[in-house]
Amino acid sequence: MKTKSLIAILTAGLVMSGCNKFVEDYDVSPNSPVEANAALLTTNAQVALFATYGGQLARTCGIWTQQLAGTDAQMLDHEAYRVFEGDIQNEWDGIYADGIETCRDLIDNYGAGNPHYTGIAQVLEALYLGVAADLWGDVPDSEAGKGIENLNPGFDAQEAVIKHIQTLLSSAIGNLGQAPEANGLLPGGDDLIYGGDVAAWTKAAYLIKARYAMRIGDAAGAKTNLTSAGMTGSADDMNAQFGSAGTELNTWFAFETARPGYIKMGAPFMDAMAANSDPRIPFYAAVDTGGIYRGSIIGTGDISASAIGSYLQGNTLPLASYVESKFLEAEALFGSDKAGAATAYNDAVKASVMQVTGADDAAFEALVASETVATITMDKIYAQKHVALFGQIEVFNEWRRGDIPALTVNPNGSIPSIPVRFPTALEERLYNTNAKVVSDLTQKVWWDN
Amino acid sequence: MKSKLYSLFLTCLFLGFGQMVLGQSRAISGKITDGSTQEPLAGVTIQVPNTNVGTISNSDGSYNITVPEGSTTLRYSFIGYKSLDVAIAASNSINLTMEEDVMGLDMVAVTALAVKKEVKSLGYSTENVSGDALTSSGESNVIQGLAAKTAGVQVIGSGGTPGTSSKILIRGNSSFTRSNEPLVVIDGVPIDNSQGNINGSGASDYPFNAGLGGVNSGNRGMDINPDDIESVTILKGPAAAALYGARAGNGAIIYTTKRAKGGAIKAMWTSSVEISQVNKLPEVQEKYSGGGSPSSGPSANEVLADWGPDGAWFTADDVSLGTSYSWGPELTGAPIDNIGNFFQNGVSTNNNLSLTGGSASNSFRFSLGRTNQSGVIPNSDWNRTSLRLTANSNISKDFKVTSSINYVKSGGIRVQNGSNLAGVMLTLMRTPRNFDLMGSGDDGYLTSAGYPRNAFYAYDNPFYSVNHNTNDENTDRVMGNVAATYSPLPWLDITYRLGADVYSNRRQQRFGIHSWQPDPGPVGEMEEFVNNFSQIYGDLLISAQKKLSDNLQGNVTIGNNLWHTNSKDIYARGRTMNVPDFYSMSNFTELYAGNYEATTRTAALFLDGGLEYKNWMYLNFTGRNEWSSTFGENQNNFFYPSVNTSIILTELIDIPNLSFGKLRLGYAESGISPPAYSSRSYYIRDNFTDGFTGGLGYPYLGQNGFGRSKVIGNTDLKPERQLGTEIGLDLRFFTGRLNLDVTYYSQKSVDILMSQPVSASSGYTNIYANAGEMTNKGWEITAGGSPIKNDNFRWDITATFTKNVNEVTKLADGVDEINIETAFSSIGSFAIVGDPYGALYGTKWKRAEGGELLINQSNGLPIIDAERGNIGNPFPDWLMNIRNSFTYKNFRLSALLDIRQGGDIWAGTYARLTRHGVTAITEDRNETIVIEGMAADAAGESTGAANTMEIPKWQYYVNYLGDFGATEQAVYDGSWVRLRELSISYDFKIKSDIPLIKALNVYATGRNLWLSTDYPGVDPETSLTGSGSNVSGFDYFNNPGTKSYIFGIKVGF
Repeated sequence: MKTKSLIAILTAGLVMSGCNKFVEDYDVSPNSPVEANAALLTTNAQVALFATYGGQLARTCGIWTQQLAGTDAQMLDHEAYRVFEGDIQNEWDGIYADGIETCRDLIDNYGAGNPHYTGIAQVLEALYLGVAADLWGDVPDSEAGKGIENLNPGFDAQEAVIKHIQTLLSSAIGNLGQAPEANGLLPGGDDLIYGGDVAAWTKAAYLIKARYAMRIGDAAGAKTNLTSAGMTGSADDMNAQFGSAGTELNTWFAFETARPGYIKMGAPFMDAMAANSDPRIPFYAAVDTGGIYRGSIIGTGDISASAIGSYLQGNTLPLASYVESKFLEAEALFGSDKAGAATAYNDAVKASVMQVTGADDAAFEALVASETVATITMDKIYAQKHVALFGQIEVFNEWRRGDIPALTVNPNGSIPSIPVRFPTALEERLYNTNAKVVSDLTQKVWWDN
Repeated sequence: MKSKLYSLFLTCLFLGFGQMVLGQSRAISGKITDGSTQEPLAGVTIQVPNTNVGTISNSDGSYNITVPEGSTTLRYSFIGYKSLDVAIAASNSINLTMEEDVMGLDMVAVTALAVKKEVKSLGYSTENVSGDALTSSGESNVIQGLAAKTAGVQVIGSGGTPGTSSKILIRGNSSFTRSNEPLVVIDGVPIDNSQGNINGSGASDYPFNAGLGGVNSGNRGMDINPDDIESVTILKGPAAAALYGARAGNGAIIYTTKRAKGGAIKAMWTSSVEISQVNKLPEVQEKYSGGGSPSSGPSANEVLADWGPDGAWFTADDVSLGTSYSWGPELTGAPIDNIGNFFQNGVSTNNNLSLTGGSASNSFRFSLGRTNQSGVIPNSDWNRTSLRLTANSNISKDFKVTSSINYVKSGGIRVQNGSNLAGVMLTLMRTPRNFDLMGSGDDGYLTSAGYPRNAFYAYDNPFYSVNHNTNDENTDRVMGNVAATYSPLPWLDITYRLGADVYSNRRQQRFGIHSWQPDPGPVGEMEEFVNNFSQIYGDLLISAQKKLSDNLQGNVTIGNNLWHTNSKDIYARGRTMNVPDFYSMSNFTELYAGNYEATTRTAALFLDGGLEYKNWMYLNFTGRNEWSSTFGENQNNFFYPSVNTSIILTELIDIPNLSFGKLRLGYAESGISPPAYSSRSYYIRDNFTDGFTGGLGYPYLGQNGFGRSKVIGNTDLKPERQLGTEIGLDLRFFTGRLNLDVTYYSQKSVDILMSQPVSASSGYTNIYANAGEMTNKGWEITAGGSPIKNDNFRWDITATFTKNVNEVTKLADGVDEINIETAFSSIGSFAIVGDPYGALYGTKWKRAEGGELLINQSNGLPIIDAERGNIGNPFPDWLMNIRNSFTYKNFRLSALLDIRQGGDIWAGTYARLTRHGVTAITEDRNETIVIEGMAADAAGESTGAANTMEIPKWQYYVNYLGDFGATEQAVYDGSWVRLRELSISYDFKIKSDIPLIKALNVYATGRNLWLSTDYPGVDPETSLTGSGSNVSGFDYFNNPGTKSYIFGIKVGF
């Protein structure tokens, strides 16, 4: 009897292990890899960045700062400040699930022995954290991107996130400065932004450090970093890159093609430029149906006004530029060296005109870019930076910081003032028990107070 | 491994057709008569038990059989009669009478794993449909053939276009995102019944649900020739199907094919022809021409597309780009009947030839079936050729092999459907009545320059569409199985059953160079799609039965099961055609390719046991432990138990007039497997969309990119589980003249798989998890009887009633509603906690506290609520069908009435056509109307006063009944009463002295001859997304249903 039971148990054991053996190893997909590499992730982090900085966030920022006007469908809602928690879910997901996740995955899993790739990923991560903190204030950072280990990431204070941006960039600069021999793999064509040029990345990293130093009013810090950046012209610009195939279309061009009439130029912006006979008008804007350059008056939804012009729809869009560095320099010097500030300001405006139009415009420069130690003001710096950074999210940040230009609230707006932040994303509210939820668009972020 | 399995399979298959052993034999003949009427009985099966020797009695009741040496008994069996075993004595003549088995107590049902059991022993309800009933409505699809034939089963057809899919639900839906269709089994071996394995195929740059437009492919069960089916058993709940483990969560349908029969070769030929016509369309107006628009309203300017003298679109001489609106002035001429010009009579033929015969120990059945269908839509067709060879071989006394192989070639040309600029209904129905789509002559739909005569420039002319935008599908399929049984002891059987299902499905979609359907506009497009599917299935069953004491008998089967499936598809697309009408990838400028492969494996050990006590109590139990490659690695095997009991009440107590009574009770658990490859985290080639544009993706400036899939792989993944309890009563009164069978069931689905959202700051947006719960509770009632029964005349009536109540009881934490599949922006299909699954979800009217509409006082129109919500349940409240059969001498008349109560349908077609001024109701467009409701103030709140604002009626049609209004308004009740089948047949009782012909039967059948419904669109038996989708109740330019007239003949040789 004993032997019989033993045989039975052994047979059963054999059969069970046979069953297990029959199914094992068939659980891995032949369609998608479980591992990637630094090059694939670098490209991914950059393409996602172009989508974040060139997509709906930039369009909404443009509408709220009245550079643009929302004239149809959902963009009418954006113009009237009806931007709710569900409306920016895609963008929030893009920043965290596409952007930060890819950067951290690259650094943690494919960065060892590849300091240049690591450095690039750190700069990109700083840009993602930056846009999140600028638009939402307190956001997940130290606990973000941990997947199943933490499905409820806590929110870090905006101040802490900006500090983290600085340390990330310092670390990036160190990594980018490593000798090529110290790298197992070197970035090349997969680095769409600079093609593996670590010197250019280093300049951009210093520039972004300066941007976030200035954001919190640290003029000295900004000055030091700008000196280290040492940008000499628009050739140093950090640009989003686009192409002509359907998957790589310029984000503004794609929007204008798919959703014509949704966005037109804003009248306040067009009027201000027209007052200076700004040569950038025909590049920033297209002619309206009557053949002239004319913005839509805020609140009117005028679909016959000028559409956006060729400048925003080309193969590159600036993410951080020489022009910006000059405006930052003007501001950083303004308190200590007004002459230097005036020079930097004049250079910034001239460089912008050159970058946008491809030519100098003496008359315009005489009027706008001839400031001196006596005439330079912070208002002028903010006002021209507003024009020069047309279409960038940075316009919304700088308008909140400097309150220039003065804007009139949309009379049809759903709230009594222009929004100064974005609402917490719907799914963050629903599914993150640690979310700090803010849906009031008039509640200022920390550095704006 | 795979090739080994194949060779093993082939070896076994040939074994089945092996050796022909002949011995000495003797001939026995006789005549069989009905014990009560004394009429001769035709069609009785006469068999030597445990051999393949058998024959069937002729129409005069006579038979001849040659029995092998040593045969001791003959078994006489006939459906509806008590079987008889008669000893073979010295005489070579055996005449006998057979008694009707009025109560069907000897009935045997095929249960899970093809185990045959006496129906009276089963503690759960089973439904049996005979092969004749399956084919009685003339359906060519073995799934559609089950419509309105049983309780507890809902069949959802996709309309009358040849080769479209039929979806089948048993006791409602039990899963959110996995298939809700039952397992389909033929002769003990599961076959694929999916709507093509379109998993992951198609272009990754197409972000929408492909089911909403394009063509409606068929469910693969349509490859089965219904004429080969002997009977169907439906295993409805977990209690019946638990032995199929993680594939039994939706029940199972067990088809048993006609088996080989020994004896002299007999042939049967059946032939039928079917004429079908469109049975219902939305009513259209006859008064107004093209012009105007929904925003500006009726216009006095007639608009008529005119491409100018050069016959080409988009040239300088174009006069008008046409219109899709019928808000123009009154027609000056007679309305053009584009709809009548377009639809045609569909003609189908169906021919089947079968041969049976063999020797004492080897027998065969061979069948050849050919179905040709052409649809009511021009150039649509579907054809099937099926060859099946079934063989039984008794190799020795205790070793028996049965095998079957079926080759099927099917395919046809499919029709563009739904939300699709090439969709036939979309473009046909929207065409204004002043425009002639057909033109004159064979290709009158083309202009002199070869452009389509489009009524509106951006819609494809439907004649152009059916000729140029073709979708040609072809399938070659082989299904085979072989079972070998060794019986070393009288009480022990060992069976191994091996089956395979292998097919290649190829589809070619063309879009002519002038078609607007391809994404970038009229450039010409071609798609090639190839899916290769294979499935290998093996069962080992060791069965023993023993009398344990005088009162107790027991049986037990243990076994194991291995199951391997592989699906591999390749997709290629060419865009921008160079040489017109030349379809080769070399002729396209932009190419795209993709592929997808999935392999799944399961292994299981199982046990099936039963005890019978004193002929009145039966206890059955099963258990299955299953390993699957799709379960998470943390636990890759699960156990599914079931237990049920049957108590024969009439053996215990005497109740007057109750001839038989049985109580059933059962509890079981079954499962639904997770999809392949969802237990791990992967990298994917991503794209970045913003909801407004196509977004950014790869290749990007010559680079590829990968990022982590936003779905976290879940190593804890386990199958969904259905926990089911059922209780039933089977009562037969007056020796079977009145029967009643009632079942109540309560099923709970737990651990339902869903893509549970997580906060994106975790780096991911979803985790695939076992999170949901849902319940199904319902009643199934079958009642029947024979009110009149005498020598010449008989009236039988059977009615079934089905009611299922479904409720979603839980989603993931913090989740109250989820979208089942991406659908339209205006309407979706949702699972909402507290509501039935599959709720139609869309915009609603804003209402005052009393439920009245709130009317905007600036335009007199109702206000649409900001929040969307549940606007309807697409599943019926109850279903009922009633079959009456009258037999008078050689005539038989049968009528099947099909009643569906409830089941909402989104009449997207009707609402859009009303917005376009096409529907008949819009003829009074120039009158005025006051919409009933409360006047609203500027904030949208009720002022307390009734609305009195008069508005032009066209506004009412566009913004209230039309789809500029709330989607809620476009949801209509899909209830119907239909005469699904009306059939009359005449059986020539052929005398045996007529040479050659042994049986002759002629019949005429009408399908859907009468339909009563308030639904304002096409026949409400319609489905936009087909059987492969969980979306139900959508009608957006679905192709119409049909009614048919079928004439047939059956001849036996």
